[in-house]
Amino acid sequence: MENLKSQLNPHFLFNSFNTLDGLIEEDNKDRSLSFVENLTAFYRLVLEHGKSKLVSFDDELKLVSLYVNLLNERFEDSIVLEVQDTCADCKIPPLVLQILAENAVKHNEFNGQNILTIKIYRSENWICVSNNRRPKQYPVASSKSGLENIMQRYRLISNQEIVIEPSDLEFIVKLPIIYKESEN
Amino acid sequence: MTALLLEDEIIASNRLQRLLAEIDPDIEIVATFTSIQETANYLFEAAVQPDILFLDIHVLDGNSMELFKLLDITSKVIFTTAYDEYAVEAFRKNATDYLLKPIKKDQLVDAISKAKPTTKALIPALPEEQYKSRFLIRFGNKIKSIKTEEIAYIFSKDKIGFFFTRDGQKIASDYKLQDLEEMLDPQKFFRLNRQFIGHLDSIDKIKTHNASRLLISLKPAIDEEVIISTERTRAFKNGWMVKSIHINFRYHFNFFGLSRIKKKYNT
Repeated sequence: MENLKSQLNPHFLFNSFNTLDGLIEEDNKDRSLSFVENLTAFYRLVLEHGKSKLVSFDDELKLVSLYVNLLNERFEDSIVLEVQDTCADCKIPPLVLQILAENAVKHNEFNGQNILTIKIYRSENWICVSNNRRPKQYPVASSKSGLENIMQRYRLISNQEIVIEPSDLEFIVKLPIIYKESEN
Repeated sequence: MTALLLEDEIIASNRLQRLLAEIDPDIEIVATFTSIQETANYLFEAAVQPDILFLDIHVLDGNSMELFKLLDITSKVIFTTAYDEYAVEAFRKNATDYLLKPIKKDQLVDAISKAKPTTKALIPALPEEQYKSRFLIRFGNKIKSIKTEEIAYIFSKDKIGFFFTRDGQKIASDYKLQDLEEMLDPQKFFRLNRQFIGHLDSIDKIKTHNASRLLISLKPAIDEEVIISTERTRAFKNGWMVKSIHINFRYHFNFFGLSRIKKKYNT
């Protein structure tokens, strides 16, 4: 689990400081304050969740919403997070949704004209996380460590496989739903 | 001094522009971009590259170090980044300096002084590169870079210049042969006829074709007949082929044919 926490990209922290610096420089008091609030709430959840093997799905939704909120301050609202279903009795390994959102941001090109839409919804026994694709033209090689990490944790925790469905237009990751009572 | 900014965050871009204006009002920002694509297009078409490029490493369409693979960059480069654990090595290779964001004014002052062109009187000007060492070819909205040494030959048809590489790729471009002729080293490339420019090494076989013309087989092979026109044959035999003695001749020169051409020219 320590491993997992340390995987949270240090870029994110430094980029956040940089964004905050910009907001302060532009004398944007309200946005600076709400950014610090969100950043604090986000890291608090990361640290809390990182201690557990499984956490409540709805709490993870909060974590990923904060994450996208923080990114939107930097990317000027060009990311939309659509949560179509919540699931009060579902559990999920911590930071899985955040890692998938981070991957969507890392691999795609988006801006005010080309919005990145990340959707989270239920479909049968899956929690699906999808994003529209517009791959970066000049990418750096990806280590795929994010997906690998998620895959391994699902195997370890619930002996189930995640399903990855890439297409030209969309990238979908299907996570098997783990219900609260099945936790041991 | 001229500068170009590649930065996909508006706040950071504004900050850098403001700091530059404060430090030295003579720095002229010729362009600001948010993507590698736009930057590459600009540099590709610019007659003169700006003195300094400020490049944010992670921008919306990828990693700006990729620019070095696309283009020969003659500008001084200053990278900017909030955090990058892998960048140091690349900085060493390509950059004059790098700045960690948020950029501090005194560090920017240092970086600019490093990038300032050294007094010209002290350093003799290097001769400018006479021939192109690589070509940039656009397809769709991408740019592909081809090194000149990878080119086997260029074939022009319907105003499209097809680059054929030694490893068998065929890449369409809008280069015109007459322009290419001036960009390529005549010691290595020869204008075979109105449709072809070939590298010395791409000439596989030569046969006589009619009295005054030569039929060439190229490698990699192409489905077109390559005939050196009468007026080019003379230059081809006299100058280029003879000079290039290291070629592995499979064809013995028909000097008789050559003398006949000469005769024809003399009349």
